Amino acid sequence: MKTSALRKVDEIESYQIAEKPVLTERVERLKEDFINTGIKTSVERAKALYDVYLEAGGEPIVITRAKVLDKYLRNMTLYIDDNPIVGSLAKYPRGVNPFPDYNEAANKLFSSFGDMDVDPKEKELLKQVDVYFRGKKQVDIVNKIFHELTGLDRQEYINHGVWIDIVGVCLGLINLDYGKVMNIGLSGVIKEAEEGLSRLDVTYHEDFKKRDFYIAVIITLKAVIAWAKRYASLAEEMAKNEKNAEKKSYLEKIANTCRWVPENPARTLYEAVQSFWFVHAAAWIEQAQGAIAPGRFTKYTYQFYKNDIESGRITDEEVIELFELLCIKFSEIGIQYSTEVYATGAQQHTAQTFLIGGLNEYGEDATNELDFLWLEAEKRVRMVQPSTVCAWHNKMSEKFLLKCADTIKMGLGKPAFINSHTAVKRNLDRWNCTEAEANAFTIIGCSQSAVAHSMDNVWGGLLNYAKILQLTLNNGKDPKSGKQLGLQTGDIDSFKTYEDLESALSKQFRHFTKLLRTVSRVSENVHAVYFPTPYSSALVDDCLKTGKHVLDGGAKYGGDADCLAGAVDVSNSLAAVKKVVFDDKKITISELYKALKDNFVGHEETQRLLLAAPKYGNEDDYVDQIVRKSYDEFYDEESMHKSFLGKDDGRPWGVVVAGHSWFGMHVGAQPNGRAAGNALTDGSISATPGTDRKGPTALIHSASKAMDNTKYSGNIFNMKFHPTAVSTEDDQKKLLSLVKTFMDLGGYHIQFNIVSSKLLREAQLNPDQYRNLVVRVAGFSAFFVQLDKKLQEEIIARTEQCFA
Amino acid sequence: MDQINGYVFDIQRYSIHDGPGIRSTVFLKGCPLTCVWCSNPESQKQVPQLLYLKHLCSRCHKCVDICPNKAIRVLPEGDLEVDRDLCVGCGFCVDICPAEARQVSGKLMSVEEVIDIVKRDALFYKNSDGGVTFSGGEATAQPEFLLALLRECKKLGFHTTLDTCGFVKWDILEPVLEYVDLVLFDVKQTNPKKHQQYTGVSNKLIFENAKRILSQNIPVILRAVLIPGCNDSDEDIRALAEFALELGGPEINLMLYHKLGIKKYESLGMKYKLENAEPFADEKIEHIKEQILSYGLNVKV
Repeated sequence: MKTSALRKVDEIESYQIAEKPVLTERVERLKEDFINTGIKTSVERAKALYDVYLEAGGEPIVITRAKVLDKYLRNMTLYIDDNPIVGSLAKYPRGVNPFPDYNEAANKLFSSFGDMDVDPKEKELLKQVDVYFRGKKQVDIVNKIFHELTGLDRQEYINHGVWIDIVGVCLGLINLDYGKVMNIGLSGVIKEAEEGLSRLDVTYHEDFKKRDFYIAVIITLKAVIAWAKRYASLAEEMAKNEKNAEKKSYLEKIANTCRWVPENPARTLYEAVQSFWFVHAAAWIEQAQGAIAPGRFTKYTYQFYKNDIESGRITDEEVIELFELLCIKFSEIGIQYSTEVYATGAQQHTAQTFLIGGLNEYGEDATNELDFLWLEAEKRVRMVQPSTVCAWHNKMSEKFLLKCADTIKMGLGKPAFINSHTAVKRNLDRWNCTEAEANAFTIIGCSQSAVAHSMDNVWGGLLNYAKILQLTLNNGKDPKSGKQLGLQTGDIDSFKTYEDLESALSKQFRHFTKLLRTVSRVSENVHAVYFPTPYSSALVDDCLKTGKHVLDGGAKYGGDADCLAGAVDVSNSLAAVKKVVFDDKKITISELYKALKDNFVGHEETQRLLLAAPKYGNEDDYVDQIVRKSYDEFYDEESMHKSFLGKDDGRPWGVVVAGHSWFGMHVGAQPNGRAAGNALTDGSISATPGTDRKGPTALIHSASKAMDNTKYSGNIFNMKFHPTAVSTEDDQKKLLSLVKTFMDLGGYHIQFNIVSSKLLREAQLNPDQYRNLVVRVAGFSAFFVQLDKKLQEEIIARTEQCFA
Repeated sequence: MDQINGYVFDIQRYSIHDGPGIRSTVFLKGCPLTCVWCSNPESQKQVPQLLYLKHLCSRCHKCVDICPNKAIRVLPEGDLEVDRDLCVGCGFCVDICPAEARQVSGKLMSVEEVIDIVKRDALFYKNSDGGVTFSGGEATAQPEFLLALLRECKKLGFHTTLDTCGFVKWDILEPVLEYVDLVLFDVKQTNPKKHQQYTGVSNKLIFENAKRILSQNIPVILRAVLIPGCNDSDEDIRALAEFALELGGPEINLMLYHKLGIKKYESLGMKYKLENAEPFADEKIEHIKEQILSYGLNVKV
């Protein structure tokens, strides 16, 4: 049905409830292909990199880096499949590019998709490139400078699980000005760069440096245009030999589109999407393991949709299919991990953060029809990427919120909710940006708010607080390796009071935070000087105005940041020591030490006492205040250090990515009762699995005060619900009231995982991890793991029914 | 606040199926009925009771020594048995049990203690048009305690719901209703004889109360507890619908039989009398629903 009348959000009814997601035949097939396609390493980017570096001679690095992108885009092997959105990072579907210039991962071959396959001949070449870059890699340069500064071996801290840093991987999380390219074309952006160049007086040093940047920008933008046109030529070629009329016209449409965008302004929604995709994919090629966020996609594509609908060029069903195809493209982006990031198990986490809902620059509800259509597409296609986040605010329509809840029901954890009001306040406080910029914020990374396409958000590293506590209890020494990693803050027996322990921990905590800041700043400098990104910079404000790339101070706003993992584990541990050792005097601190050393074997009674001590997530200030104090202290220490650009805008993020399991492997038994090697708590303000026993509202009370959400740029808070809690519209409304209350209480990020039968099976196998899992079925409510096997099976059967 | 204490066996927060909005449901212990299908057998007696979850027990026998009343016996194979005549539900064994295999159902709480918990979620109630529900057992079996709790809830401006089996003297129920915004009224069997057989009491008083409550213009939802073979015949449903029409046609919610509570009987040392019943098939539920709908009544599962 074509319609020329433009509908308001309120009139969108038809996509409210689609019980059985219907995929078109080609989406079904592409999804099937995606699932069945193996992951392969492509060596073509490494080859282009190697060739350019060999020829580079003494030219400025920014030009060399531009040439690497140029060479690759002009030479990579292209393919066109049944997805009308074309463009891929590598020559294979689900191909992954190694980055031997950044890290050692080229030899290890893991990616966000899992272990990678590589052609033996290509592997030889990869080795050759890897050898060439030894000593020149980003990671090698950082290690060398860090050692010069501190006398310390950075790798040692990582091997012990003290932190994971971004050395050797991405420079940060960015959001590009995709809308600008849709509106003025890359040709328009090139013109801006040319104007910038013409304004310079290169006889002055400052301007002379900018000259190289502008030239590099122009090289890369032209390369992306050329890349698109190569797809156009390939499609034309394929069309020539195509007998099937339908396929021929499909290929001709691709040819016409890629001939036009991204060079020129888009004229239709399809062209806008294709323009977006080229711009997005090229950024993933330019730098290693980025976290490049589409951001406000449904806002900057809206005008194209509106025009198409008004002129009858497209139907909503066609838009949904286009969005499903785009979800498949997002999911095809794979990145190569450094060893330790791979080990965190951050599978499929490419953090292509996608905002829906939100506010416009005037602070009004920015939800439009495309937000509805996007959710419908996500509901039907059910892919892991992008990371869709609903920017919740109190002017949001109930209809849209119900659409979100109805999508959550599918069990993908999408969309998450973040609090727009907090994001706006944070933007204003932190960066002193304009009100319009603050309102029309975007989301990057896991949940962090940012000023749209104007920032250099550099992720520093992730500090393992649980490891720091372990070191503190061992006078700074790692009990397993015997290495003195931390300060000597006293043997455990010297802690006569709880405050003694607290003060020793604080010293260690601040010491490691400072060390990590040092690593981060060195790494950022190495990124900035050795690995500039002229292409991405061209699409971040105000790089083209200032003639500086993103990490050279070109971004309008910014700030580097580190993250803290293990705050909840440490707080539960501190509360347990306080309660069991110092308040109740049930055991001595030496007995505690012995129990931890023996991993509780033979000390079961001690472990039971520690497990029974107050735990975060139950609305108990005894421990909740320790969590708050931990985050406040980390913030305090972090904010004492300026960013690598010497600015006072470095602030920590309250996100843990997926470090909890890898970190846990490196931490021995803890005073919270956790045995050695088990995963730490997921999220940053989630409760330790199994320990929040007072229900969702109590957990929300604890979580909403766990950290200062205006100071921190984001947090991760996961809650689990049984599908019966969201099955009817009435239930969904209650879930949305829960969200509203969390936000009213000052919460920021909340995400719902719907319990599946798979998860219940997991709970049967690992009951300790799921002690808090309540199932409520038909007025019956119980802790799942306490039920006997037969009853558990019955619950599992009922859970499956909910998804049927 | 009134200095009254009462026996509570659970306070469930984020309760979403016991009245409108997000609620806290306070379950009071003790019930005058002994329905054969009862899925919360621990709610029937008013005093605290020990639940022994045999399948979790690690046979460490720590509880045997700590029990002040020597109520725990070791059987020849190492299994444990609770002597219900000796056990007073003191909970010493619960604290010592490393396997969480022992629980005490029922706690003596003051009005203040209960209110302290339910008022924490005030903002959730406000944002969802929710409130507090009193259930059981049978909430009216502890009338003074219930009345005191309801009064405090109304002082705090909370919407209140009473979930009742209706078996209570009118002069006890009437003052309670003054503080109740919605009644969830259980209907189990319209035939007095069968009612006596399945629940242990006659339904005469219950049905009189239903009529009286409705005549006072208090919103009522009928909760029809459907049990296979006990009250699910076409004849039973017809009688149920006619009863509802007689009351003026309040909304009917169907509470379907499930077997999830069976294990509790074993852990309480009680016998489950409905061994052979099986949960309803979807078609049967649809059939019942349609039958009720044909009377022009509003019905939800």
